Amino acid sequence: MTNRIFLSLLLTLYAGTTTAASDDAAEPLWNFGGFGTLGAGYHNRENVIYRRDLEQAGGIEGHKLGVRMDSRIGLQASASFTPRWSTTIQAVSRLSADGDWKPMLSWGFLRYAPTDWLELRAGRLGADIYLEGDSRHVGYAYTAVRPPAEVYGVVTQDRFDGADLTVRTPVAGGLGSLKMYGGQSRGDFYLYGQRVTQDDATTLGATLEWANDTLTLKAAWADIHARNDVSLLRLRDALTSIPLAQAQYRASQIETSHHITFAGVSARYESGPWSLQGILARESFSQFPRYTGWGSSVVAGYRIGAWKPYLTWGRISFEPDESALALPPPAAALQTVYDQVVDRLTMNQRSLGAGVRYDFATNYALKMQVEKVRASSSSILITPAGMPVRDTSLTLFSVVLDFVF
Amino acid sequence: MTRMRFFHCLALVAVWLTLASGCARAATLAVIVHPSSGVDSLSREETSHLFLGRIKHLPSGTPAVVLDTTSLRADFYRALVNREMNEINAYWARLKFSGRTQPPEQIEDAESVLRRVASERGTIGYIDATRVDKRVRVVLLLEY
Repeated sequence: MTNRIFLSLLLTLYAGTTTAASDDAAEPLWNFGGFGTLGAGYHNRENVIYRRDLEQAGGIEGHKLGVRMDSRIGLQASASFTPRWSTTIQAVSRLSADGDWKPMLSWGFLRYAPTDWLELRAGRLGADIYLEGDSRHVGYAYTAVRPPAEVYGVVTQDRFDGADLTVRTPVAGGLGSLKMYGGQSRGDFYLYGQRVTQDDATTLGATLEWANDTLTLKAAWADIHARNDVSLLRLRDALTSIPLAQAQYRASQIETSHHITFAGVSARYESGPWSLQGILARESFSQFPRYTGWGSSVVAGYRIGAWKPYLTWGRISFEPDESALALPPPAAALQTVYDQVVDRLTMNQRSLGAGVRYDFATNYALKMQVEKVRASSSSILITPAGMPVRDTSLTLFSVVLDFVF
Repeated sequence: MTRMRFFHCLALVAVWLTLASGCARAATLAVIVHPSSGVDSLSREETSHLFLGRIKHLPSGTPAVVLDTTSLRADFYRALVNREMNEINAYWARLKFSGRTQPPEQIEDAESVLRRVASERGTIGYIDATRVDKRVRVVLLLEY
């Protein structure tokens, strides 16, 4: 439904644009294209499902060949009406939080760029937090099989309906840019066996970037503010009914408004055969009991003709604030629920991997990757029932074919 | 005497080989624009901004139409930004599918690029420097 509304909006805007700009260009220049990944993976840990991010309702199950996690396809149409006005519409089909392959509108915006130094876009947009393009779906753009789960796996509300404004300027032999954006958040995640959507959430963000021919530096901040999350209200009510000061205090900490905040710095170096990129991100979730932590990742590659061997490393640590509560024995069941809620998003996961990318034809890349994943606690890894996994390790083998057309 | 002649010949062959390999390495690409584009020269940095889609106007303010000569693409990007074609293709996938910009138009042969640049004011492309004629203006030379 939302997708249809946006397409109508874009068509309306397009009609207005062609009228307003008819003196600049007679015919819009349309471009059609797409991208996709055919992926297969296997790991050796029974009763653990490996996911690439929190959005997916499934992934790769232990001792089974899985093809659903990395596979996806995207189609894009873009048009330039004049040098100043253009539009892009993109849909992606991938394993969703509902466990289906229903396409989502990933981009759908109208763009106005009066000069090289100013750009305004409005419509369905992406939070500018990724180092390699504002998308986690274009596998061909990545050296490794997928974006690092330890950094981007927990930020899946990365679409929004709104606007962004970018200003650019030449600086220090490169091009610097500042982007500011905001709008209605879009995106889901799958936790505890169910899809979670926060329709009322809003996204705000800003990105500072500098790039020359070999180096890209980026500092990105994004905040998703949900105002009416009622998921913990039953716990709050239950705690309120306990005649214990500490329980009352914990109940008072539970609010329906919360923020998910991402603040990261990243760098990419590419010169000759070498490519090296790293990101360090501070991530927080202000809902009770408030989680904070760090996600980090490094990918290093060296190209030898069509082959590009690479190494990957990733780590996430996402811990709850101190929130101890000792309920009296008659409230043992509530104590169990409370402890689970406090621990529900705790993550300590790291991975170390090696792989090779083989660009065997123009616009086609075959990648083979093996990685060792260790987690003392993880919500990205889940049990078949959809619950977080504790104290596990696995070896994941992945083979993907990435393509663009 | 015979030995001296032999060394002379050897020296001549060595010089010839050096010159020949030197000539092979000194091939030059010319970045060209329309004579009335308002641009006399471009720095390497300005050229890479244009060909990597970071800016879309020539310094004169004319909207740029950027052309890739397919047969020279690998040499051009290696000479301009020291990157291999596979990396350039991945770079464009990043930009294209995040709604930022479209890659340069791909033109099969240098003659067609020359014709387009000679006839369209905002067009910028590159060809082998030996093919340049007075219909276009050279704004940057790149050796490869």
